[in-house]
Amino acid sequence: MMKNILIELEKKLKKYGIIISFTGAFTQGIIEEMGDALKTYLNEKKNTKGKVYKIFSIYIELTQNVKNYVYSLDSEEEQEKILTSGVVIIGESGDEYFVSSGNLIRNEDIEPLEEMINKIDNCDEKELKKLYKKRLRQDIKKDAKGAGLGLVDMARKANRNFDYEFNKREDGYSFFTLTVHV
Amino acid sequence: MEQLSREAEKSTPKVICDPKDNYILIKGESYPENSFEFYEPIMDWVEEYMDQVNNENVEVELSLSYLNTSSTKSLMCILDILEEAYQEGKDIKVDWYYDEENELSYEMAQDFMDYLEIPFNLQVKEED
Repeated sequence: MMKNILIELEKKLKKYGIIISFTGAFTQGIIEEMGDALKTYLNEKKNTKGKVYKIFSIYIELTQNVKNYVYSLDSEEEQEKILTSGVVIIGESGDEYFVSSGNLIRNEDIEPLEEMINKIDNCDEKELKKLYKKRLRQDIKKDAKGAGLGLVDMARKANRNFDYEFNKREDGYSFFTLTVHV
Repeated sequence: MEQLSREAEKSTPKVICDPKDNYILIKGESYPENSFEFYEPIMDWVEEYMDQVNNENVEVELSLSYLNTSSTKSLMCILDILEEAYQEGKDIKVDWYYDEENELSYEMAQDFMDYLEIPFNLQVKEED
């Protein structure tokens, strides 16, 4: 039985070009260890240092965004529910890499997030630079923990627009997935 | 004033704040879980130190290969303190060391320079 699961899993990972995947609560320790493995892999693949850090930084922002969202919530029960719903994958597709994260999100939090993503997706390089600067100043003033600056930063490093989806469930939550191509 | 130093760890940079040598170093990668917690003592130190600096030459060496966005915010706060002192006429020199193969580090410096008056001397790093 176990053997069959592995064969099935191996086929899926190959098919989608997945290098690293993790599901469960992202602790800082896990983020660091996986990040190390990712850097080692990318270095061995002869990527330039700039490219390695670009991919690494998207991985860090995505995983830390999930954590920041979790800690912005008041109820411990809800925090636990969302934190343990986390998934991150890093893969290769053609001549680019992708980093995807998934996590539960409260339905009432979808609208502002989707607005922010759409706004960022409609910006060109210059506008992103301006938005980043504005957001950086705002965040310092308010000591904000929102996903804004992280998203703008990822968009500046990405090759193209974000791929994202909200899959509504019955219980007042949706599963949010975000893929960044780099 | 006491010296403040931190050894580099996986997600935090090496830090030296030396009031005798008038030297501040931040070197490495920075993506801690809580960057404010890490940088707050450094901000406090720099603020207190800048208050007591007169006409000494202060050397700030930044050699950062990667900053996550929350570390960028914290570093910006430190640079704001330096900027204020610089505008008061204090002698502060900022050297930013970057690896030629890591354009990300170069771009970070460009962003900071874009936001600040205080000049950065961009220097190519010889080795790690």
